[in-house]
Amino acid sequence: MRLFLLAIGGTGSRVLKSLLMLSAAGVRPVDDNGRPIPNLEIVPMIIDPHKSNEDLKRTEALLTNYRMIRTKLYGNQTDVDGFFANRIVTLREIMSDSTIQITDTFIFNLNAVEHAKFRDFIGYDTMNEANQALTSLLFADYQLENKMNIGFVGSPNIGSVALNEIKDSNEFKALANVFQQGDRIFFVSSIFGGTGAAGFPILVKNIRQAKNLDINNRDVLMRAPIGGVTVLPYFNLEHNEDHRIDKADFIVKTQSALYYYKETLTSQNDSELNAIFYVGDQEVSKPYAYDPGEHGQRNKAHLVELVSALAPLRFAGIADNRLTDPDGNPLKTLAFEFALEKDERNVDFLTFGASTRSVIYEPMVKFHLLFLYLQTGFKSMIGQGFTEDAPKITSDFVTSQFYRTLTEQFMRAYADWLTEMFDNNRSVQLFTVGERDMNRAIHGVNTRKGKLGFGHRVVDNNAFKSEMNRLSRDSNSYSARTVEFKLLDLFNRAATNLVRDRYENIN
Amino acid sequence: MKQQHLIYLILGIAATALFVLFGEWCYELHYVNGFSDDMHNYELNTTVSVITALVPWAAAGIYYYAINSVRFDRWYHWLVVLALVMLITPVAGYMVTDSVMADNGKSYVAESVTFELLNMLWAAVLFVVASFSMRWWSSNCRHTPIPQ
Amino acid sequence: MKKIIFVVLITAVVAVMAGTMLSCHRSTPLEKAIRQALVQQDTTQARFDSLCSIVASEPDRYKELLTDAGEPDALVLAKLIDEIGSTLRPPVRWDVARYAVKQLSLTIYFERSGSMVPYDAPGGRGQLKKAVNDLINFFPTGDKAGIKIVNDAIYPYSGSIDDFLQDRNIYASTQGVGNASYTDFQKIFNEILRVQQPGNVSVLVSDLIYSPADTRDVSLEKIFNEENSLATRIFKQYKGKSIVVHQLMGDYRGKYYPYNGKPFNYSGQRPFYLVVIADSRVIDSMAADAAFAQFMRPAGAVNSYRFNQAEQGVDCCVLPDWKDNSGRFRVDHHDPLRLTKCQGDRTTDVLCFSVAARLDGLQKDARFLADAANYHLRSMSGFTLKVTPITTDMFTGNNKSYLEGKTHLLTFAGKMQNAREEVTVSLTNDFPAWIERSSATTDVNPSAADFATTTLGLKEFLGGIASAFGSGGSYTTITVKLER
Repeated sequence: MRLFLLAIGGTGSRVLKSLLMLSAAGVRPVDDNGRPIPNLEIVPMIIDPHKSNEDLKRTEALLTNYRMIRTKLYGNQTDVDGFFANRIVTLREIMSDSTIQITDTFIFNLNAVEHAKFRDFIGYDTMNEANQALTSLLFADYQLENKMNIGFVGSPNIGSVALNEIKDSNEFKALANVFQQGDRIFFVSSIFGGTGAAGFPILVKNIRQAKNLDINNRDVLMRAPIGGVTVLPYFNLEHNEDHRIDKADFIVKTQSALYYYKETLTSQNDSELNAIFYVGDQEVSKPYAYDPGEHGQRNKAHLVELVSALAPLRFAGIADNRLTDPDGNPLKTLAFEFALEKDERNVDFLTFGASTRSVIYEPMVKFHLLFLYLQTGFKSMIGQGFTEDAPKITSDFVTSQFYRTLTEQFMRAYADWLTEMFDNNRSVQLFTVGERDMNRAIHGVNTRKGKLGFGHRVVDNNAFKSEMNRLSRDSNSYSARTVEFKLLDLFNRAATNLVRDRYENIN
Repeated sequence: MKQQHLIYLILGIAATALFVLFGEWCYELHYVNGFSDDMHNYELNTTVSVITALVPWAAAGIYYYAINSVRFDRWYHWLVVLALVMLITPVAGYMVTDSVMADNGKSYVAESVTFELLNMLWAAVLFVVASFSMRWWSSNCRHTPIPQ
Repeated sequence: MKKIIFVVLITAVVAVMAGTMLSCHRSTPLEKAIRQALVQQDTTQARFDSLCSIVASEPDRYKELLTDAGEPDALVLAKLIDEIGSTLRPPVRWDVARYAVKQLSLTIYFERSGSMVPYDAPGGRGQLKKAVNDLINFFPTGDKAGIKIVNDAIYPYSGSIDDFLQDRNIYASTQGVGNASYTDFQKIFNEILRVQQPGNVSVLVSDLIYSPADTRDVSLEKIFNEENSLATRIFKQYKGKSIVVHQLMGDYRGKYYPYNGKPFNYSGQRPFYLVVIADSRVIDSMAADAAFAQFMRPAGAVNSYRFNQAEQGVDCCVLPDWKDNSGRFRVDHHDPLRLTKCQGDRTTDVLCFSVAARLDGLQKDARFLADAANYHLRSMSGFTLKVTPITTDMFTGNNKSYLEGKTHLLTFAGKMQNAREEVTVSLTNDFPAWIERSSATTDVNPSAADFATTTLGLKEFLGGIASAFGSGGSYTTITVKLER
């Protein structure tokens, strides 16, 4: 299954980042029976005209790193277990038709819109007077003067017009081209901003009405199971004299959009969407610096994004017969909500409900232990134990592109992500930020009591070394694999054992 | 579990068995009039060769499988065990030799000391043999003292 | 699965190795006990008996060491002991075959001819009676000894052993048995040898004067020749026998009957003889057994000689470390009489080494053994020999095992002139001079100087025995091989 993940706007990028972190940890979509979805490829496409958006840039870099790391680990394999399990590809990578020209990035090319002022884009100057008058009634002057490469600045009315053009883009054609029976589409957008709020319904509408378009696979595409997570307002803005984006507007815009969605996307009689996930939080986040786009939107990661990132994974796991009838027509829209088990401002694993914990706890803990291990233990172990088994991990390894990308790029981003979520409100405290002692790293979870009732079981670099030594000794499959795979796979297996054996069980 | 390692183990056991079987020959490379004959008569060459085979194998077994610790997996840790073997084997050998000799009214202090100093070398050789016979399956120390 | 196969394989390999090692070094408790006895030089019958009890305690385990009757078989044990003894350094010999001879019986043949009566005359000191009594008393089963009276034939003694021992005048009480006027050696020896059972020890008490019937006008020389041939002929038929002749001196008070001469009264010393006859093996075992020490060396014996004594090996070893050693050598591990890396002393170039040997089994007296003249030495470089009896004060801690049980130290010294050399020493078995000295060709003159110490025709008679067994050779030969 391919899951085309259309992340729209700044929120889309940030949710995608959380999804990358989860994927890096090895969280995989599973079906109702808990079995991983086979042959899964996630094709993220970021739709945001605001290319200098910091969140977009960070996510794009992370996507590139993820892809590079995963290719080193598993090549083109799908269905793998462990860190970086989900295969994430660009549209270009899976496209076989070379007649369609697209670039090999995760970003949807919005050339047509991003360099123009809105008034030029809609041809304001060429309109007759009556139309100009109507347009002036619909759009404020500053909106008409907006250059769209900074996004739609909280103006869904602009976005809805501009993003309607996407259906004519090469990327959209390429998507249609590779889209096959069984593939799914998932949207990530915020309901209260500009780009997302506008783009989501329009793109859904374009897909469902694909029969009118000049593209391949129209029939399959228009019946595609489509899901979406709609992020309700969750962040606050610092007070500013410029009122183009206003927190007060968020609620109003949200209300209007919800009504609109109800009518057009999730209507009882005409469900365009197969599944919708609503995520929001009444707890007010720390105010983000006001920035309508010019200086690069850069917002702290937030719990809501982490939760939202679970939505596409959940969506991928829903059985076909719950989404479509035998002809492929959408059934009544499935709507999902998310709740914490405890309404606390400090969120750790125990704050989540059991089902969430069962999905994210073990992978995230293992990934965090990997993070700590690479920081504190790994280098000094080169030349000993498992590193000496074939394929040997030599001291050159730590200067390799893979290792540097993993530690200096990806892990740094991971650390930032954790810190940002920690600093935010609600404060996500899955792990104790800055704590290098593995025994105390998981917030609210202790290591088990010692075997004879004295002290506690110990989780440290030596415990990992020992476990990895043992696993490496007992595996003869690594000699045919890369050192990168060996290191991460061994660690993953060791971590599985240690997490289960030595930490208290909270699942 | 490579075949090659199995061969090392078998060779190691065979070498050690040969040492025990031909311990007397090994020890009499340094022949001392009188002392060597008494060692032969009291079957001490066999006793000492068995000790000299057992101590290194036991030590290697303990090091690779009982201790088997990542905190004790460096070459210098192995050297510590080697040093212990080179201490314990001759001391044990001396005690046994001396007690049997004394029971028979013999006293060969200087000869015994020289003998045990040489035996120390055999113990070291056998510890190397034992190490390279059994290390391969140790989870933490199979790359000690030198990587595979 | 692979792991299981692996574990099984390893276990099998280790088990096979351990099994091989164990089986190669496994010794039974008996083998251990034998080795220990040999190493401790405790080669006594008591120790041998303890070995037998080990065998007897586990008949199933040691069934190949048992006789058909279920008794420990000393001969088979001897073989095992030899095998183990030969692996020791120096090799240790323990002749346990002799223990196979159990329950020896003693028969005394008491010559009652006219010339014997004066030995037990009431006025004499009674050395003859004393000697016979000693034979009986010092023979372990002497109380069951048989006593026969011998002259023209063999006759039974009518009394008991106690009667015999308490009898003050044995000749008086046996008067009238047989014909005392002559002694038929042919008949007597033939009969003794014929009736002798394997474990029997026969002792003829006699003056060994051949006095057949009807010798009138027969020349003494003819008689001597007859005596000589007779002895040879008789003993030739009994090759497995050994004869030990002890010469003793006794007081003689009474009439002496010279050959073809007029009897005369003689009062003084006269030799008489104890002729011990038994299977060679029985003699060997008695010689090696302390219980027979006094029986084998009668008090008062002035000379002794054993006929038909096979050359035998003796326990010996080179002392690796001895005060008299000079130069350097190394004793070969497998051959204790092979010295390698021999080098003379740096200043004198003399190589001197000592062989400790156990010579007491040769049934020679101390004087004979200590006399270097009785040894015949052969070497290419002219080694010399010194013989020193071993005494316990020579023992030091580390030499004890070499010296213990040995009786003589044979010290060889010489300058080795060849790369390889052999030094051979033999203790020669020559026809003893004392027999010649004690032999007379006439016995008519009691005042002759040698009348008191000689016996008529002794040389001819004993020489005949010697001819029967073939004399010469040596009692033992020790060869030390030297290599540079």
